[in-house]
Amino acid sequence: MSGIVDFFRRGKRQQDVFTELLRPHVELMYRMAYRWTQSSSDAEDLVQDILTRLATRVDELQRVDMLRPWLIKILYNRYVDLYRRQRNGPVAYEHEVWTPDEDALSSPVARAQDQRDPLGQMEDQRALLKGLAQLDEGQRDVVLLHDVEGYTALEVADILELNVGTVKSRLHRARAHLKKFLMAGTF
Amino acid sequence: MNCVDAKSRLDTASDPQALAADQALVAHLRDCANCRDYAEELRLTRLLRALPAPPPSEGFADRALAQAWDAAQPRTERSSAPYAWGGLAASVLLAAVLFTQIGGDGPLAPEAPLPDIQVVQMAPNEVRPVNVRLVSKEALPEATITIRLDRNLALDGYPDTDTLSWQTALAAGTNELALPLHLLGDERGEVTIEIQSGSSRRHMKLAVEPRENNLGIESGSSIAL
Ligand SMILES: [Zn+2]
Repeated sequence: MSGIVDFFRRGKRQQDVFTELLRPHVELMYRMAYRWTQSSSDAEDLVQDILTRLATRVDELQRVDMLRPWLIKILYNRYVDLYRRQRNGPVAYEHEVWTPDEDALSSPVARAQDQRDPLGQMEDQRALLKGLAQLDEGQRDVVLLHDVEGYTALEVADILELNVGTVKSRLHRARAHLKKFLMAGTF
Repeated sequence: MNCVDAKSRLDTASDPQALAADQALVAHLRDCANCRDYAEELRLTRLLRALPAPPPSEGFADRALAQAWDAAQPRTERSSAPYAWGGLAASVLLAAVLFTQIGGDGPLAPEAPLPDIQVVQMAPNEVRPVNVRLVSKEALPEATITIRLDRNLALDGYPDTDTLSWQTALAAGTNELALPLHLLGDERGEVTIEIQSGSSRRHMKLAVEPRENNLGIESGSSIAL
């Protein structure tokens, strides 16, 4: 039966290169897209759209040094094109806190997280989403990238095409605004 | 407690209840606006970093990558233009692309949502490579692939063989299998492709339907891989 193995294409094809380059980043892209769109299906559509565009640009992808911020920058620009510009004005930022369904809750990780944080976190997070909704888009973008998804100030500056000073001052003002939404208490 | 101690206590402990029970810390924060700000900022950034997000639908990344690649290819063989093969090299004919999802969360996970059966058309007695795409979430070093053909189909080079089974390693991501299918007569044939790894098993079906030979393609034209 050894001849059968020849049914598999030999050599590394462009598609494999494409898949290997992007596979590690797809879920991060999805998560960032979810932060912006606040909708799983919109987030999946947005990522699908970007991936399809990138499928014809494999050579270019191979030359990118830091793929993750580069991809997030493309994602951001596409999000602005598709969602912000077309709606002619600020997008309503909804404040629904997503909660894991039963399946996810029964996973060991979810249970551990649940036990670690039994009180108040949901309340605080709901309030924070309200606070985020009131921020202007410039500040919200910075908070979502830096504080929620953990991109560095330099990466955020690159993604949003701002200088680092602007990123830091927006972050400072945004945090001051968000603090007002937290429940009383220090910790 | 001084400011340095207070900040390091805040930095290292993540349990709010333990912090609230720390009398020395609470006393310091009561008197020190600077450390109070610091504590609040820490609480805020920890909450933001933990803001939940729903996971994408199952298998999204692999599916999206495969679909993206597919959609970006020039449309040579799609149902809209199925007869544009004339100008293509025989070796790159793509008769069908199937997706299946194997591996993943556990044994016998539900089948990925696929059409029950994919259909390609071939001329009677034609041999054509049919590309089957296997998308696996993880590397499967000892997968078994089994091809079952009904009596109207054969694999070119394997006459009189209706079941072929072999073990191979599947890479994480997309694996492409090119099957040289031979429609033996002018009746519909069916092939089942099954992938098994450990206790996990997936299969998909492909139907080959005979096509009227009025489209400028010679009857019985044989296309080698
Ligand atoms: Zn202090």
